[in-house]
Amino acid sequence: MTTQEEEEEEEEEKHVQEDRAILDLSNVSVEYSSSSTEKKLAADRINLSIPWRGYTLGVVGESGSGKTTLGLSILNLIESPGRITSGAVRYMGRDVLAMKAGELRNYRWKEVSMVFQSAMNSFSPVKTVGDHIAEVLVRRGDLNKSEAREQAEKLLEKVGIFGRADDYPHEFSGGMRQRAVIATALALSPKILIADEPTSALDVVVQEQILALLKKQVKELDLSLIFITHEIAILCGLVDNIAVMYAGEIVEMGPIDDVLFEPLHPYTEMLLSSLLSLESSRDTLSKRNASSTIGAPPARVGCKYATRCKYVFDRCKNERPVLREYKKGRMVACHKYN
Amino acid sequence: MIGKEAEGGDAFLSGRRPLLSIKDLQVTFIRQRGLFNRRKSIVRAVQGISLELFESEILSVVGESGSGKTTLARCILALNRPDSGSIKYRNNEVTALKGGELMNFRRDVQIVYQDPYESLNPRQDVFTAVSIPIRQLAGEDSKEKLTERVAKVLREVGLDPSAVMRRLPHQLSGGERQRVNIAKALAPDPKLLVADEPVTMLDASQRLGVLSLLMELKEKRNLTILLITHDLASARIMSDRTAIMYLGRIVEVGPTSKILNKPHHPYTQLILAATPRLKRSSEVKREYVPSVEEAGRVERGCVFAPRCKYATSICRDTEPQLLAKSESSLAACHNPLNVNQATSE
Repeated sequence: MTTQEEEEEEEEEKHVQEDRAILDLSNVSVEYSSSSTEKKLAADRINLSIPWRGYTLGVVGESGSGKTTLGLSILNLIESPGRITSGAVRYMGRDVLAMKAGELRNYRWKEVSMVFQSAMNSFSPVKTVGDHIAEVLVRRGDLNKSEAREQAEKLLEKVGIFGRADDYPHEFSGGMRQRAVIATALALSPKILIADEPTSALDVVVQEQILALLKKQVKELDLSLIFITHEIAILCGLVDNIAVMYAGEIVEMGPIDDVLFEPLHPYTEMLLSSLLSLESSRDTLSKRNASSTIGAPPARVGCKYATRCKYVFDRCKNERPVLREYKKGRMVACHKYN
Repeated sequence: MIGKEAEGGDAFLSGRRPLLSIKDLQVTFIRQRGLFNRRKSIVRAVQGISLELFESEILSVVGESGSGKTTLARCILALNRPDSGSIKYRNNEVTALKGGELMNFRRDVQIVYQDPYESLNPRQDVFTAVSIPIRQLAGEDSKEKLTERVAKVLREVGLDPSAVMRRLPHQLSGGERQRVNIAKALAPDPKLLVADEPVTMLDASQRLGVLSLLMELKEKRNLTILLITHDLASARIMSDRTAIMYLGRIVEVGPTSKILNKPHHPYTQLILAATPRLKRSSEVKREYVPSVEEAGRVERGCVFAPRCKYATSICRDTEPQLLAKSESSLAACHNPLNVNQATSE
């Protein structure tokens, strides 16, 4: 080991000792431009950190709120026409956005990996599931082909799939494919796993299986989890913290039980009240709901939620609220609390 | 047999006329194993389903993927031909309809598909999409009248005609697209609407709106709705009765509140337990239950037995029939839950 490498490693250790966050996003903005004139801010000055290993965070929001963009920017995977226009992503003190190709390759999968939305349908139909995982291991790890193959079988067993490594993806059910995707994502033992709607196409029983599996991995591997979803209820019992996104911004963040049972932001409140549950009654179906189309688009100045907010007052229309600590552990971006 | 029992159990609804009645429906698909492999296997998608749908009721059909709910819907719409059994719409056999009669049937029975992103032609604007069924099924040709009718039905589904008429699907949100799909289905003035997972692909905040809309339309137009879903929460707020499907069979059917509060079938209990709820972290218990594939198929006996924690020897031997287990519900189970000893078999 060269001295330089030693130094680097020491420095890394120091960061951990100093109790610095594993992952830290500060003021990250992502813009997509569909034409020269039209620009869409998909992520708007996001601040977020994963302070320690085993920290779990659920990210909720409607489609288009920037949840997936957030996941992609952590991996520096935003592609044209998208662009990270400002801010910094730091992983163990290293600047992710400044990483060179080789460094990025090691960072993705080995340090932070991601289960993409509908990834279960992205297996090549002409390769066996075992070969798929083995390929990842050969390319990114230090294993030869037969070792990798053996390891792939072990990984599949960890997610509850026994003796099926020689099967082709179409011989797997949706739930099994999704578990195989998770096995692949965990193949290089990353410290952080980003899961983007991993259960959205599955039915409830299989969904429960996947959630139980993720929970087990988090515990056993001391894995940090960022779970992106639009179904709040599935986060219960899975993650400790939750971030609520609206129009590219995090509007509320805190421990999950506090946020769900005592929401601060009016948007969180609305989201929770529109939730259908087994306890909902017919009265939840109302004329008002039937004719309300989707809601006004986010405001361009001031608070973005002002156009839909029932508590709106003058200040909301002019000044953008910033995400700040309201009380211990509870962050909210709303003028009501200021 | 099953059909008769079903009628007996539904006696509480006997004052009403069934709009649709299905008897002993069987549908199988032949699956070839690979291009050059001659071996074929038979997939039994629907196995002996009997069900009645009464005028102006909402019936939910709940089941996991692969349980045959969509196949059932396709048979009802005369898009799939069943192997055996009968489907009668207003006492006419659906499979025997031809020409003008079939046209009338197609006008009367419409469907809303699951995926609002894929079920609209990306090159057709909203006006074209909604006017086609009016033109073809109701024979309306004059441009003015068409515009008028399209505008009327768009307003009915909560959209502003002047704003959306000339828009293409990609310029609409998911909720708006699903409303266009509903408008398309309503355009020929149907009596029966089959809604195949209409809110599954939508954001939570838009689901309630679309479900409220369906309920409002049902009341205003006196529609009969068959709601296919895997979400028990939407079945709960929408439907009068619910049928639970498992591997091509109906395993339980009865009034929705009864089924969700006191299920007879262990499968119903299983999906109830798996439905996500808002709970404090400490109250969430996750139990690993094998999926259909993991549990394996059975040659005989109850199809649910391999996953059932109440299974006894009779379950592995004899297939249970769909029988009345309480005053208003039927279940296909040898060891039903929530029954008074006196009324059980």
